[in-house]
Amino acid sequence: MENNITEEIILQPDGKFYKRKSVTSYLMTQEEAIQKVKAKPIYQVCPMPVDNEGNTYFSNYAGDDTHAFYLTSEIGQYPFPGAHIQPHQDEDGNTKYLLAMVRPGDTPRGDDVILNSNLTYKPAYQPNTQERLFITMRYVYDDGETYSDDPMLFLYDSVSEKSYALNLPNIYDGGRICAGNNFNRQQNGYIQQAILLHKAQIDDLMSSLANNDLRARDLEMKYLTFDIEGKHINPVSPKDGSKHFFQEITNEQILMFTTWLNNDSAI
Amino acid sequence: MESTHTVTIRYGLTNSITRSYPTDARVSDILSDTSVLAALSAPESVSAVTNGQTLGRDMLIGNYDIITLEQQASSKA
Repeated sequence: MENNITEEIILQPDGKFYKRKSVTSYLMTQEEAIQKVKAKPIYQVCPMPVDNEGNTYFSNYAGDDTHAFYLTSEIGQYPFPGAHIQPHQDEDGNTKYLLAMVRPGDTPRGDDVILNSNLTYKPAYQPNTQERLFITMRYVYDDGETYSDDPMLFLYDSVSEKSYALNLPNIYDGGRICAGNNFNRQQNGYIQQAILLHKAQIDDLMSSLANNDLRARDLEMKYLTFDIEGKHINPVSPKDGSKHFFQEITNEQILMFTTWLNNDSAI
Repeated sequence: MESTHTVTIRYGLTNSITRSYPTDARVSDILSDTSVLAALSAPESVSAVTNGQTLGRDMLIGNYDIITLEQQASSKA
């Protein structure tokens, strides 16, 4: 059908006649339109009771034929296992405790380091009450093997209704966690083994020793300091923080998951 | 009349722009469109993703209605 311009004269309620022009142009056939709707994958999320905490979600693009899916687990806090703390002076002369990490077997430098064995709390990033921390991973199964991509950490803020990557130690820009070379990314089997792999990966991330890679100490002075017992004392909300620390998420899947959270589907 | 395809390009949760491109346009045409990147406040180092799959630069955009630009972040600023 070629472009077609039609004109009509209409009588409006004001008692006057008006001329209306309309242009009709071809888009697609009915069959093409139906096929397009059918072929469009739809993102869906399903809570999964993988343990008694019930904090893991399965998601995928229904209609997608790549054999890919995501497992996303909520964590109460993001720990820095093995980390000691050490006092530093901020620009106002106040003493704040920052993370002090060393290689396994090494002794921390400085007499003022408080060893983790003397801390009441394991140093961890603690979100505010209106925020939730998640770790998500993409999995693909192929010929009896399940493979995972790198884990990503993100913070969901129910006030701004956005998710953020946090500029924390051992975290790349964008939220990808530096999980190390020993992080297991492969498992024989299908979905049940994939869930076991996911749980083992989360346990690994929660317990693997933190190190001094990817640190931004100037930001840590503002957002990641601790009291003398090792408790995180300055969790700032994203609206009060810098965009350098709270980096808005651009990852498609996390954006979709955030939209799902915003629809009150999980809260 | 040249046939066009309308695609919505997203960057982040709230930034999106809808543009029409020729049906033979490719992903690289979007990634190199500085006006789109500027409108979305997106950096040049982005990749195009749809339905969880990263799109190659040579792929036709006519098959996609929504394309998300993801920041490529393998380092730390």
